[in-house]
This record gives sequence, C-alpha cells and structure tokens, in this order.
Amino acid sequence: MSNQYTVTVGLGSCGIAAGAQKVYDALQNGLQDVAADLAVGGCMGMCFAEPLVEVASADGARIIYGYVDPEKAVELVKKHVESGQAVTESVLWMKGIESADANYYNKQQRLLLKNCGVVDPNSIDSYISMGGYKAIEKALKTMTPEEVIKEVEISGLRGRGGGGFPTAIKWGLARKSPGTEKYVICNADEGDPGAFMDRSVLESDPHRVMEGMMLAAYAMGASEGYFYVRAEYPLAIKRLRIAIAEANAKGFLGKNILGTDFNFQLFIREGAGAFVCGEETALIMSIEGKRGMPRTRPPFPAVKGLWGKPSNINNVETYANVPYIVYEGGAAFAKYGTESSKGTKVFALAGKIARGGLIEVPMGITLNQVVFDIGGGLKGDGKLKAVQTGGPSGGCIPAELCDTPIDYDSLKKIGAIMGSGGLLIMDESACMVDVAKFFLTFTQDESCGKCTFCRVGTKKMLQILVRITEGKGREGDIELLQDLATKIVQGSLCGLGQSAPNPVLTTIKYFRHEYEAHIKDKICPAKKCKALISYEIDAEKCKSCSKCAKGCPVKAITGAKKEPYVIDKESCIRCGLCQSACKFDAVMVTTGNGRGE
Amino acid sequence: MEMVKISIDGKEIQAPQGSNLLEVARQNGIDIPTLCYDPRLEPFGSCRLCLVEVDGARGPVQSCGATVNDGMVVRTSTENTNALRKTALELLLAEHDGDCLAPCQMTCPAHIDIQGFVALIANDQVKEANKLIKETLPLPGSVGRVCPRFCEKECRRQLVDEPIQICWLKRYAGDYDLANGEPYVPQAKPDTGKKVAIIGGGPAGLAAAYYLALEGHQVTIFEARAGLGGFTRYGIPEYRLPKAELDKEIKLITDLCKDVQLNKTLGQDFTIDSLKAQGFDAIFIGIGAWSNTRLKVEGEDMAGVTSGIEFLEKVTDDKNFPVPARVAVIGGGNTAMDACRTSVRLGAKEVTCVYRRSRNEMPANPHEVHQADEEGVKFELLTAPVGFEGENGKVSGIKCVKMQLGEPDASGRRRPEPIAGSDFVIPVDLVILAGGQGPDVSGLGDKVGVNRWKCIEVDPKTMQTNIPGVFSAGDCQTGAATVVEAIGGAKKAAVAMNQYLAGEAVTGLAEPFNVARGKSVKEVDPAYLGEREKLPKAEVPTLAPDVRKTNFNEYELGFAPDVAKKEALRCLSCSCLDVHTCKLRKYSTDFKADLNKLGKGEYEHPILTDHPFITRDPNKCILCANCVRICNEVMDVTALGLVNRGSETVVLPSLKKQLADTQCETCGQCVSTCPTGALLVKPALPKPGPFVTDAVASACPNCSIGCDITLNVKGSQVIEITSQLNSINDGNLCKKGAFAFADIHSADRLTSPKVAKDGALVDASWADALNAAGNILKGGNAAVVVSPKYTSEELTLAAKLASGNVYGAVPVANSALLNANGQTATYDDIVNSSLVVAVDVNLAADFPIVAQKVRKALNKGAKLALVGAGNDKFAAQASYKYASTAAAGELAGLVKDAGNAVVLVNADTLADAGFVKGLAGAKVAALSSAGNIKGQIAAGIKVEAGEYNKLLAEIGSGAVKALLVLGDTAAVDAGLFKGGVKTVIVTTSLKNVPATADVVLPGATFAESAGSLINTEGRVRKLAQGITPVSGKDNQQIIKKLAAALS
Repeated sequence: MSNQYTVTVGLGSCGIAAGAQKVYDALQNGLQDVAADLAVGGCMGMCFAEPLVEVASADGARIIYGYVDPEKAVELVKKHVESGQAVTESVLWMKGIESADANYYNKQQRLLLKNCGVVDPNSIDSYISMGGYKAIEKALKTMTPEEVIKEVEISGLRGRGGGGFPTAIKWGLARKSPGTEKYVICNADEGDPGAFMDRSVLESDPHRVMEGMMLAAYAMGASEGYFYVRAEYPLAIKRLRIAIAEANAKGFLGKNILGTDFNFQLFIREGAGAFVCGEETALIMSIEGKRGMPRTRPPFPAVKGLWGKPSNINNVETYANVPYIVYEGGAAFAKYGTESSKGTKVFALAGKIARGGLIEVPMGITLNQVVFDIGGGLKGDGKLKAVQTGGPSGGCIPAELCDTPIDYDSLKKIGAIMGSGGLLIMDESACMVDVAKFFLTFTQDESCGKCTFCRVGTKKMLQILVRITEGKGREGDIELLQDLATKIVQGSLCGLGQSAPNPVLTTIKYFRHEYEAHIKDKICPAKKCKALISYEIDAEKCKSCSKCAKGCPVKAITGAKKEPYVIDKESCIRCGLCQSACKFDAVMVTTGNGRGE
Repeated sequence: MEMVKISIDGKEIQAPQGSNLLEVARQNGIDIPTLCYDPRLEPFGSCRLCLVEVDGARGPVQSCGATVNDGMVVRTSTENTNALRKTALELLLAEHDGDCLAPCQMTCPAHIDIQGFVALIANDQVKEANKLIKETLPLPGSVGRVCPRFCEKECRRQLVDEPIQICWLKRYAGDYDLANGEPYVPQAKPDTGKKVAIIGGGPAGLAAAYYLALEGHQVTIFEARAGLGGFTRYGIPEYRLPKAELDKEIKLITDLCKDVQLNKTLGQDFTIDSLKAQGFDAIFIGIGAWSNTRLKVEGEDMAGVTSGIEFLEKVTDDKNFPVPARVAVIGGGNTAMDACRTSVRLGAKEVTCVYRRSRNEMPANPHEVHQADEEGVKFELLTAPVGFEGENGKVSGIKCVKMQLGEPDASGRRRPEPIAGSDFVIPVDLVILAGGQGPDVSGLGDKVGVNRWKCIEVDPKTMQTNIPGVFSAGDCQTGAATVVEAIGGAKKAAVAMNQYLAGEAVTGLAEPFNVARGKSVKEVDPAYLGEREKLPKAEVPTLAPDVRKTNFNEYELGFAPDVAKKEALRCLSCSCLDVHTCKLRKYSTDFKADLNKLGKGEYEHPILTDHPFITRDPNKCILCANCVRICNEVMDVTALGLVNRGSETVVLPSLKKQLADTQCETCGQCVSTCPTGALLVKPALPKPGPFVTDAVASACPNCSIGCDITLNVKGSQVIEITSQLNSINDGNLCKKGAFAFADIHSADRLTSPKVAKDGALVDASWADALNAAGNILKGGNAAVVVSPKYTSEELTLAAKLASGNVYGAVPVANSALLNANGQTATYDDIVNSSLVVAVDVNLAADFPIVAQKVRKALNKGAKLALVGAGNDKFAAQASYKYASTAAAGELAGLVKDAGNAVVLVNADTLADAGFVKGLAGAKVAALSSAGNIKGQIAAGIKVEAGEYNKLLAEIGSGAVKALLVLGDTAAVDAGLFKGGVKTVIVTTSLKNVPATADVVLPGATFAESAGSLINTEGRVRKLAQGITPVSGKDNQQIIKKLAAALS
C-alpha cells in the first residue's frame, strides 16, 4: 500500500447488482501496471449511478466516477492516475463540484454514513485507520456506564427502527433491571419493501455497528450481544462474520477488552425472513428458537427479554450513531435536527425518483428538499403525487404536504410515520388504491397469525381493496375499510398490526376521490387497475406496422396493411405489451368504459 | 404481598400488586370476555376480546396480560371496547365454518332440539327424548303424526341419501312415553299467584297453557267447542290422528292447568275486558282460523255446498255422517285432502278434487296427495270453478273452466290463467269448499289490532298485541298454518308472557347467535361430510288403501323400537357438539355479532378424526393456541403446534402428522381448553347429542391422586368427564380421568346376574344368583379379593365378608409409606417445596397430575432430585440424579437443608421404604395406581404383595376353596382362578371373567357409586352417584345382599 492512488469500487449489494464486481475484476487485471491500489468499498450511496469507482489520492482528495462499466473504469482510472488529474467530464462527484448529480451528495449531512463506501468493510485496520474503536476506548477508559447513557441522553437519539423511543431511556431501563446476565441485540431484520439502510450500513461499515453495540453493552452491563440479521442479506452476514472474527483477533471482542474488565462477545442469528421478527418480542422468540410471534408487553424486554433476562434491542442505525455520539459528545450530534428529533437520519430513496439511493440528511429537512434538491426531482417528466414514508407501516403523504419537515412528530401529525427510513416516491401514474393494496398485500402476508385483528383483519381489508380495484367495490366499502382499520390499529397485539392499516387510512384521507372513482364510477383514474382499464389503438396514429399484434401474447390485436389495428377488448389481458411495442404512441389506455361492472 | 387499590368499572378493589388484571376482575364479579385466556396457561393475547380501557394507557389494554398497579382505573365495558369485541368476533366468524345448530332445528318453527332427541333415541333413552321434545313442543305424538316436516326438507342426510324420518321419530318418542310407565310431566314451579286466561284450546292455546302453567301461573283455558284440541281435533281426521292419542297428550297439559272451561265462546260468553275484570293478569288469544274463505262465485250459498272445516268438524262428532254419491272437494291443501279422504271413508261413490293449478303446486303434503290417489280420489287439476248450478236451491253441478299456467306470481307459483272456451260442468251432489281458512275475529271486539287479512297483529319478538298483557299466536295470528307453527308461536308468547307476569321487560325469547354452513341445504357443499355409507330410510308400516279406506282407523302405524333406533342412527349429527358451551357463540350472542358485515368462514380443512378419542375441526379453530399451549406448558408434550403463518396458520401436529402418531398422551387437556368446537371428545355413545347435561361433582378412582371430576350426565348416561378449575387438580385431567368412563356404557356391559349351568354362564334372577353365590361362599375357607377402585364404604362392607381374609386386587410392594401419617405431603406441599425428590417413579407417564405440580414447583425455583429409574421427562431439569437409593446417600443432607422437601414415591413398586423414611424432615407423597389403596388399608384389607401371593398359593393348593372377586373390568386377575376354586365375581363386564366362574353379578362402575375414597394426601374425596346402576343395584347393595346370603 504505497501507491499514491487508492481505487475503491463500491461493492455493496447494490453495486454488485449493477455490475461492480465485473468492474472490480477488470480493474484488478487492468491496473497491474498502474500505480494505484485497488480496494473494496461498501455502498457509496449513489445507487442511481452504479457502478461507482472512487479514486483517492494520498492527500485525501476523493473523486467518484459513476455510470462506469469495466472498460470505461479501466480507461478512466488509467487516465486519472497517469495524468494526475481527474477526468473532469466523467466525474460524478468531487469536492467543490456543482452539478445536479453532485448535489445529491452535497446536500446531505453524512455523519453515520461517513465511512460508507470509503472504509474497507472487510478490514478492521481500515476501520481503525478512520478513527474506529476510539469511542469504545474512550468510554471504557474514561467514562462510567452512566456517563455513556448521559451522553446518549444529551444527543437526543431516538430509535431509528421507526418507533422513535428515546434510546437513553431504553438503555437506562435495561441498566436498572436487576441481574448480571443481560443482552444487547441488534435488530437487522430490515424488511420494509424498498428499504436498504441497514443492509448498506452492515455491508459497508460493520465495525461501526459493532462498536455501537459494545457501547450499549458497556452502558447497561451486558456481556453478550446478538445480531439478528435476515438471511436474505448474505453479504452483510459474511462481512459481519469477518468483522467479528477480526475484532476477536484484535481483542476488541472477548475478555478484558482494551485491558479493562469489560467482556463482550457477539453472535449472529439469521432470521428466516419473517417480517414480524423485526418486532422486538418476536425477534427474541426467534433467537430462542421458537415460532416468531410477538408477545404482550409488559414485561418489556428491558425487564424480561432474551432467555427471560434484561435485554436491549436497537436497530442497526441506532447503534451506528452511538460511536459518534460518545466520541464527539452528545451535543455534537444534537446540533443537527430539530427540537424533538435530533441528529441525522438515513433514508433509502426509491421509486419514481431521478436519483435514488442511500442518503443521510439532518432531521427537519422537508420531503420536497429531499425529493427535489437531493433526488433531483422525479424520474422522466413525472409529477410528484405522493411520498410513502415508513414502508408498509407508514403513510402516504400527498405532494401538497411535502413541505412537512421530516421528524418523528411532524410525520405522525399527518398520519405517516418516520419508520426505518424507506422513502417511496410516487408520480401521477400511481393508483393510490393499488398502492394501499400493495402494502396491505405485504402486511397481510407477513402477519404472524397470532392475533385476530391482524391475522383476519388485514386479510379482510385486503379482500375489500382487491374487490375495489377489480371494480367490484360496494357502497360503504370505504367506511368499512376505515372502521376495520381503526379497530385493527387499536386492537392488534404488536406494531405490525397496529400500523398495517396506515397506508389505507392515509390514502383514503388524502385520495378518497380515487376510491370513490373505483367504487362508484368503476374508474381507475391512474389507469392502473387492470380490471378497470382498456387498451385501444388510435386509428389516426396507427401506422399499421403490426408490431403490436406480433407481440400480443393472446392474439387480441388484428389488422391489415393500411388499416388501423384493433384490439379485441374481450380477449385482451391488459398486459400493456402493445403499448410498449408501439413506436407511434398509438396505443391508449382508457378507463371507465363499463369495465368491472 | 403488597396490596394495591384499583378501580374497575367504578368499583374500588384491593388486590395484590402485580396480580393479573383479568383474574382480579373475575374474582370481584366482573367477567371480562376472553377466548384465549385459561388460568392454567401463560397469558397469550391472541383473541383480543379482553381489551379494556385503562386511564393513562396509550390505547386499549389486554387485560389478561396486564398486571395491577396502585391507582389503576379500569373500564371493562365501554362503547369502544365493546365495538372492538364485536369486530374481533366478526373477524373470527369470518374464518369459522360450521353449524351451531343442526339445520333441522333451525328450520323447525318450534325449534325442537331434533338432533338431541334423535340422539337420545339412538342411545336408548327414549323417555329422555320425549322429555327433550317437550321443552319446546308439548304434543310430540300428535304433531309427529300431522306435521308437514319443515325439518326434513333441510335434513343434510339428503346430501348422502334421504332425510331422516324425524317426524316419525318424534311420534315414536311421544307414543313411547305414553305407553311405557308414568308419562313425563315436568315439575311446575311454585305458584306465582298470577292468573292467565287462554282463549282457545287448540295447539297454540294448549302450548301456551303448558309453558305458563309450568312457570307456576294459574292457567284457565276457555274453549268454544265441547272438546279441546282445536284444529287437531276438529280439522284433522281420526285416521290421521286418533283422538284417543290426542286426548292423552292434552290431558297431561290440562292436569297442569287450574281450570278448563268448555263451550265458552269469546264475544258471547266473555270478552277480553270481562277476563281482565275477573282478575286475569295476562291473556293469550289462540282462537284459530275457522272462517272459510269464500269463492265469491254464483251459487255458493246453495244447499249442498259446505266448507271443508265445517264438514270435517261434523264428521269428528259423527263417524256415520251421511254423504251422497258424488262429492267434489275444491282446493289443493291438506284440508282438501282430508275432506276427500274422509268422504271416501264415509262411502261416497265418486270423490273429485278440483284444483286450479297442477299437482306440483298443490300445498298439501305430497304423501297425502299420493295416499288420496291410492284411495281412489279423482283429481280435476288445472280446473277452476266459476259457479254452481242446481235445482231447487240444491247444488247439482260445478261450472268449471280449464286453466293453464302462466308466469310465476308473488308466491313463486305459476299463475293459473283460464283457457277461453274450455267451460264444462262437473255433476255433483255435495261440494266441499276447502280453498283456505282465515281467522274469525268477530268476537274480539274492536280493541285488539288486526291486519287486513283479519289476523291479530303482534310484535313478532314477543307476540304481544297492541294491548299490553294480551298476547296471541297460532292461526288467528298467522292465518291458517300448521300445528307446529302455532306451537312455536305460543312458546314464544309464553316466554314473553312470563316476563310480563314477572314484571320484567317484555323482550321475548332470547335469540342466540348461530352460524350455519348454508342458509338452506341447497347452499351446502357436502365436502365436509366426507365419505358416508348410504343407508335407506326406515318406512313406517302403512295399511293398504283397500283396508284403510273403509274406516277411520289410524293407517300409519309408527315405528317399532328397533326400527326407530336404526333410523335415529342415520342422523349425521350436524349441530356442533360444543354448541351449549362454545364461548365464541356466547360472545357472538352477547355482542350481537353480525355475519353480514364480513361474511362467514368457508370449509377449507378436512375434519380430522384420526385420533381414537379426539376429533379436530380446523374450520372451527379461532387460533387461540390454547390447545398447543396446554399440551406444551402444562403437559410438557408438544403433540400440537401452529403450522404455517399469517392467515394460513392452522393447528396441527408438527410435520402435519396424525395426532395419534405424535407424543400425544390422550389426556384431553386440549379439548378442555378449546373455547369452540374445534376440538371435541369423540362420543362414547352411539350418538353424541349435543346434550345439555347435568354436572355431577365426583372424584376419579383410577389412581391414588383422587382428582376432582365432573360427570356430565344426560338422563341415565355419562356423556363426558371434565374437571373444574377450582379443584385439587386445577381443572387438569389425565387419560384415565378423562376417558376411562367409556366402560360405563360399553356394549359389553353386564346388566343382569349369571350363573354357570352346564359349563356356560346363563342369565339368572338376582335371587337365584345370590343364593348360588351364598352356597359357594358358605362352603368354607372363602377369600375375598376387592378392587381398589371401590369406595371406602364398599370396602368396609367387603372387609366384613370374610374377616381377615380380604385382599386388595392390586397389591403393592410395601405398604409402609402408605401409612406414613403425619408426614404425608399434600399437593400444595409439592408446589411449595424447594426440593422435590422422586424415587423410582415415572411421574409424567404414570401420575401426570402430580407431574404438573412438580413442574409448578420447578418453575418457582425448586430443585429436583431423581433417584432410580423412570422420569425421562424430568431428567434434563434434575439438579441431582442417583442411579439407585444406595447411591443417594447425600440426599438426607439436602433434604434436611431444604426444610420443606417432598419425596414422591411409587407405592406400587417401591421396596426400599427405609430409604424414604431415612430422609428425615421430608414429607412423603406415596403414589399408587390403586385408587383407593389407603381406603383398603383403613378397612383392614390386606394390600401387600406378599400376602396376595400367599393367597394365590392357597388357591393353588386348594386351601382356599371359594373366592369372591369384587372387581371392575380391569381388576380381575386371571391368576386367581386356579385349582378348582369356586368363584363368585362381581364385575361390570364379562371381558375378564374366566370360563370357570360359577356366579357373576353385575357390579356398578364408579359413576354409579356414591361414597368416598382416600387419596395420596390422605384426604377424603367424595364420589357421587351420577347415574343409576345399569343393573339396578349399586355395589353396596350387592355386597349387603351377599352378606345376607352368607349368613
């Protein structure tokens, strides 16, 4: 490692999916005679521009190239290293650069994600070189457990898993619970569709999370910790395993850590993919080898948790915030954010957004700022219709409310929740009944089956939504949905059920007219619900090229030379292939022509 | 324990800090609804019914999981909690498939418990069947003859082959009761001093009178005619309903009444007002529908034109009523058929039935039409009379027009339309108009409200008219209908009248919530029935047309007992067997759950009958997981589990095995905790009921634990054995307690004495058998062997039979510990001990109830020491393990240190009593498979194996020449019958009786025996006689008889 340049390829799952591994391999071959070291990095956050390659020079300057392919990457790096200059026209981001793409980075506030994409996740040395394990050293050597909790309290950190419960209080309760056997558990059972914050952090900076857990363990007097990671995150698990092994080898885990009498060991438990196991009591059951089902609280895990012992459960992001808080002081963290929601928050920006990816912003930023300033607005020429926060437990916020600041309380006020950090951006093509149906399909599928309201209630709600989208909605269905929803919220045993109706409640609240259109007029205004739409060919625009007919899987399109083609509505299955096949924009979608009645 | 003050529903309550909120509420008389809470189990929280409001809480609080804290303010029944409960129930019902009640009962206008009475007939309890019918229908014999059988149209058996002959079975039950011994008359409640007037002595009036008299009211019936019975007497001919049979049933009713006044007509002899003036507190109007519907055609008033009811009434009084040669009856209903067939019997040469529609539309019972046909009645169908012609004012012909059927009308029948030019004349001598009847309300005065059909108007829930205290039902209220509808209405009225008379709110009969697999049989998917054997229905013997048409003798002769039983056995038992105890139904009734909102469940899972004692129906499961949890938490077995997730979840054994192939111990605990009919005990009797049973508290004699049990008795049969939570066994039972009762009603049950004759056992009278027994036992050197399941009272008597020579049938290795008075452990001692020592005992397998006590102790932190073999299940939890008593030297010290140690031993096998005695300071629980072994010791019976072996030797050597065995099916040791010993055996079944037995007397089971036993704790447990012994004698009586025969 003596070269002047270090070339890092973003090899998170996102990068790999976009072909970054091939880029890495190409660089490995192509840079043999180039004076640059090649390194593995995690997620750099700019998923929209994957694969990403960073070239860092010895003076610390970082230049990120995006949208590369293996050939281009080799060419760029060679050029850069040989010339000692950035290949300006291909730079995605570098310090001082102003561009739409660069704004994505520039407008963020990356505290937690500071190392992500920079540090080598497979190297504890790399983490240490970036200041890693300094916080635990500081705590063990200079702070009492109470002082650690105090710093967390000063920081105002609230649970990043979505609940927003003050972390210091949780830790304090676990500390006060009698007993010597206590557990810290990291909830990495990230299950919201479209959310990938925890995965990215674990894949990119595993030691940071471990350090956070160590601090928690020290604060509450625990000596064992568990990562509960969903099995669908194999790369995260692999990197965690390496990280735990390295930490053990270096003495950051095990007995008498850093020469103190603090002992701590970490274990990994893989979840089998049940969404409900993200609920803390179900998660505990699952670790214990039982059927993952929530139980009633109290007793809270802080009193009676894993194996009946006091336990603290936080999510990945919460723990990952702690090293900064302890090392820099709670006040440094509390500088960011709002009165009641301190610090920064990581979001997974997805959906119809121009630039999606992993972002970190200070609490209190508005949704519009995120969507437009960071995300660069909507994909194509779409118009913002709504933002879904909090995944299936969250709410659908209409565009007109997107000036709402992102903090726990403001979001709650408008019927949404912060959630763990999924931000799904929707444009005008989204049917809000269909969106509600999508989320409810997910929650009803993921209900553990224990309590009546969640098990049967979500199923019944879904049945009603399905019939509405099929044009079989009945007078009173909206009220029935609302009635069921409010009762499921009140009556369900755990957070899954209690929040499952949120997408339905908020879409009814803000887009009631769309429900009414489906039920009364048998119309899908967004032209999304198959049962309510028809495909037609505009005779004026049709050039009789026969492309549509050839691609039709059910042979529903007929026509002849110089005659406009015609779609038979009866046999049409509304797959939309004709529309994508047509080069002349002649295939139209209509709704409200008697379908569904 | 620290006490805290809380408030529940405004009631100030003191409770221990941290105790369970739902339990605290219960203990203070506030019952919070719940389906998934069982105090034997850890709170689970799946059903969500127990949600309550607690001040300061974020939302509704699950009371079964909540603990009480000082100052807590709780409201258990608010608008919101009740709305949540209603929705929770509706959600559960949306996934619940079954029939609460059988469709026959649902359809019957009188809501007779048809499945129940049919089951009782199948179970040989015909008298009980009649009793059950009379809860809702006081005239079973009569109605059984004439009912149009709404029930049979809905009978699900037709999905297999043909409906059950419900009505003939009902008649059978009614007739049987009258013909066999004292007819059933329920005990009327004490006199309320309230006077009730019943106007009209027809079916409605009689039924109202019956139910009101039983409530203790003074009932007077006013009847306009000379005889009671109304239409059943004057409208239904003798050949269908013999008046002698009707009279017998009516008499049972009038015997309950204060007065019957015949020939008293409303409006002439008295009025509603005059009855009130006479001091009647409530009035029931059941005056029937005696006004003939007129045709309104020319010539209707001529001589020779009469009405059907007038005609039938005249014939009732005069069986020789003259009829001319040609009779025409106009109409297609039952009255028309009765008029036709009566005319045939009176000697008319030609009887014609004129009806304007086709045969398919005839309202008469098809079999009546068929039988009229058989008897020679001619049918002029699609023929409408348009007038009458005659001479000198006497009818001679009916002017008719032919009809054709057009579009269906409001009743769904196709409307007849005249065919132009088809006029013709039927020549006749007598015309009987039987086109329908309506009420004659002229005597009512103008205060009682009637509708445009002149039917009395009532509130359909209470049957109360517009005048408070005046009620009505029957034909005068419904228009001409059926007997069963009249009785159904009258029963409803009687309930409301009773409320009225008691000064309560008049709300009428409570309507329980019911789920049904389909609104009618047509909607039902027969898949749930599985494979069923096709069995043709039994036909009632019927006289041939030629024989019957010349007289008024009854021609349908009713079922013989064997035919009735066989027919009853065809019943599919559609009703849920849990209907009387199902909590889901109870709460659905309480909270008025509405199936229209979210629908009902579908049949999705096969009904599982693989286990010999337990039936599982996942379609009825509400996923409370009580069964899964009790199996695991209480029994330490994991036979059942939750399979799949979310709405696909179902309770099944792991890997979807058959239940019998799991570790299932057949304790039935899962059934006991199931709040619905998803888990049921398979019936030990031919038909399962369901029955409303009498609960008889008793004790289980099947091992020395002496658990509290409840015999659930219907009539003379034990239907099921359960236990109650507040018992020494906390409501838990093992296989022996829950299922051993099957022997009571087993097919091989011995019911009469037998003596050996020519090498075979033959029936004998009690006197002969006892005489023979006495002769054998008097012969000298007799020994007695007696079962440890006998009560202490029986044992004391038995011990006197051969003083000093009486042995226990289940000998023990060493009785020393059974006598360990003073250091005997109670079950509470086990639970509260800090060290449990188990010596040579397999707790989980042999004494599951004690195993539960040990588990409780361990959960509280007790240590367990295992000595010797057994106890695999506890091995992992044991702190100390010793291979034998010899190796357990250090235990004495541990026991001493513990201070409250309890030693559990198996008294049947433990030889080293000295070791146990050496554990100074410990209390001892000596467990034995011989139930009342302590009672045997107390009675001076020899229980040691050594003594028993000596007896065997003496029998073998011929020293003992005669032997009396007092046993049960299990306790007759074949080793006793050697060396030509003469034997007298008292037992419940011939199963274990050797061929060499000389006399066998039918003994009684524990369910037939009153008395007591002494359990492991040394406590006296009371056995109650749940049913009378099948042989007529209980064991005490038999032993006394034997003693007498010996002296």
